[in-house]
Amino acid sequence: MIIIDTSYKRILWLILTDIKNKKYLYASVLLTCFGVLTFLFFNNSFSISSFLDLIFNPNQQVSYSSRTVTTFYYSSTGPIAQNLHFLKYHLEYFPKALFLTGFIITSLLFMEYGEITSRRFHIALPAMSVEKWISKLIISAVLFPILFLTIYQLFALITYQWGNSKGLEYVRLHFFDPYTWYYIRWYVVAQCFVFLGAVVFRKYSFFKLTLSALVLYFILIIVINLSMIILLPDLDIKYMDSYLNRTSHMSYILGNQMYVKQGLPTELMVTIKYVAIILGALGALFLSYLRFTELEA
Amino acid sequence: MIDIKNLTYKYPSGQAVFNNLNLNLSSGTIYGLLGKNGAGKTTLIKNLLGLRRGTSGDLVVGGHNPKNRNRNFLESYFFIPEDPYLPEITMKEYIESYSPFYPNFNIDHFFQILREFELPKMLHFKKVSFGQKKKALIAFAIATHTPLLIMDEPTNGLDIPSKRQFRKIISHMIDDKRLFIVSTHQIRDLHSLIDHMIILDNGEVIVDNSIMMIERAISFEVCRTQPDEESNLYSERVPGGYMCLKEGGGRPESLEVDMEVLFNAVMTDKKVFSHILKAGQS
Repeated sequence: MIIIDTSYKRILWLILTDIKNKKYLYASVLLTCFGVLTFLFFNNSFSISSFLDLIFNPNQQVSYSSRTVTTFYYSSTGPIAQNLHFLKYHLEYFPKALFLTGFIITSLLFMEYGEITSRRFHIALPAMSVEKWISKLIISAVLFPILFLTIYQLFALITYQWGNSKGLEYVRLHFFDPYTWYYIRWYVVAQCFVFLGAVVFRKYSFFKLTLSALVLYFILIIVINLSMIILLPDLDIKYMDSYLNRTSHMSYILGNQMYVKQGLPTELMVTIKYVAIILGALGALFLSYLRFTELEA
Repeated sequence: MIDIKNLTYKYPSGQAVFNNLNLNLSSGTIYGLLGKNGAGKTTLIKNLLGLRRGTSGDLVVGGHNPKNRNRNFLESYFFIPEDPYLPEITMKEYIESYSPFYPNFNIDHFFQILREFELPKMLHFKKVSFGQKKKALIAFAIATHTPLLIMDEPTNGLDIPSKRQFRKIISHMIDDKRLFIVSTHQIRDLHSLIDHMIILDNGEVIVDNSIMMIERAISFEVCRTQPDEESNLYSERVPGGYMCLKEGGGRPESLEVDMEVLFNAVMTDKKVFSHILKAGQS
């Protein structure tokens, strides 16, 4: 008979219980994700990036894959940088698969609180609210990235073996490669916001969250653009009309590539950007805890 | 074990449910919580579990303030709702996952109750009937050995033999350290089980008496014709005549307390019955 007499054990037990209860759900999300990845890797007739380029950037000369490689080239110092063109596939799909799968799984974490009968059952479980909340956070921010990386390693190994057998020089993706950890870091930060969305919405949270994120995103663009015009009248707004262009808007709205006539230092803008994102993520976690304690009460 | 003093509870709309409610419930007793729809039974249970917070007054459950809903309090009760939820896993997984949260869980008792309910050990909750789910949850709840067990309509969904088994199990499992509260409209299923009757009406406790006290205060007799004597408090047609309630217990012809008839009688004339039963208490 197992005795749970400490917070540490209770958190561990809550994690195991969550995984046991949703094992088929989590497994189906992961299998679907890797099924799609495998299809995209081994088929020669359809490329999702070309398809997206066709829809969003019909006049774009450079393909999306090359852009990703180029963008990453400047931020990478690891061994990967020397073998870029062999890694195109992983460069393009690793972050997409990581973020999409992780966000779907995070959005499912609080689904049991969406139904009144199920919620009543879970709030009666003898554990503190903070223990229940931490157990969910560990699944999303720690266990999932490790599991995903492990499975992706297997996937990368298979594709490497396959490439070798075909005489293609695919590079193996290493577990400790800075490339993977660069995206894992960003995943951990971004999942804080998804975590908040999962607590707030609970039912169909992934769809509601996507919709809310789009709405918030456009509000953010408008607020930032308007505030820049008001606060910095000297700002050259030549990029303003391109905020819907997916190649430049992210950097633009976060201040990274902002063109200011009597310049603000780029380093300052970058620091502000990172500090704002980290504070935002911590704030989202704090709000998610407050909302969770409301659900538990 | 449960001490409620001057509890006032209002809905967010401002409508009062309880106004200075007082109740004292002791261990070793099976309480029957009765009342019409909307009388406040569910709200009272939610207050006891800390899921609703009274606007004023004191509420202590097993030495805990339910409002805090701390871990020790959560370990001290188990609630079986009318429409229970069970995750879609096997019973083995359920036991492995959830029993460690209850320090006094007794696996032997659990399997013993399963046997009495004639439930197999290998069950998948996705593939079983509502009644089987309920029996599994009742078995789990009793095996947790929590000091407080609250059941809302526990016999709903149970077949006839299971209702009998349920009564047998509950009456065997009560001891000096445990308190059971059964909220029900199916009083005929449970009348032989209940030691103490609480009737709520419009948020007020109008009856709070043990069955022994009720027997001392009121006689239950079957009359062939509708009685018109003054001592007759209430009568209701039953097979073979009328069930008549008369003031003063202990008559040789008096039957055991018929809770359903008593409930109907109290609802017909709250003042008179409340007065008689209060006098019986003193």
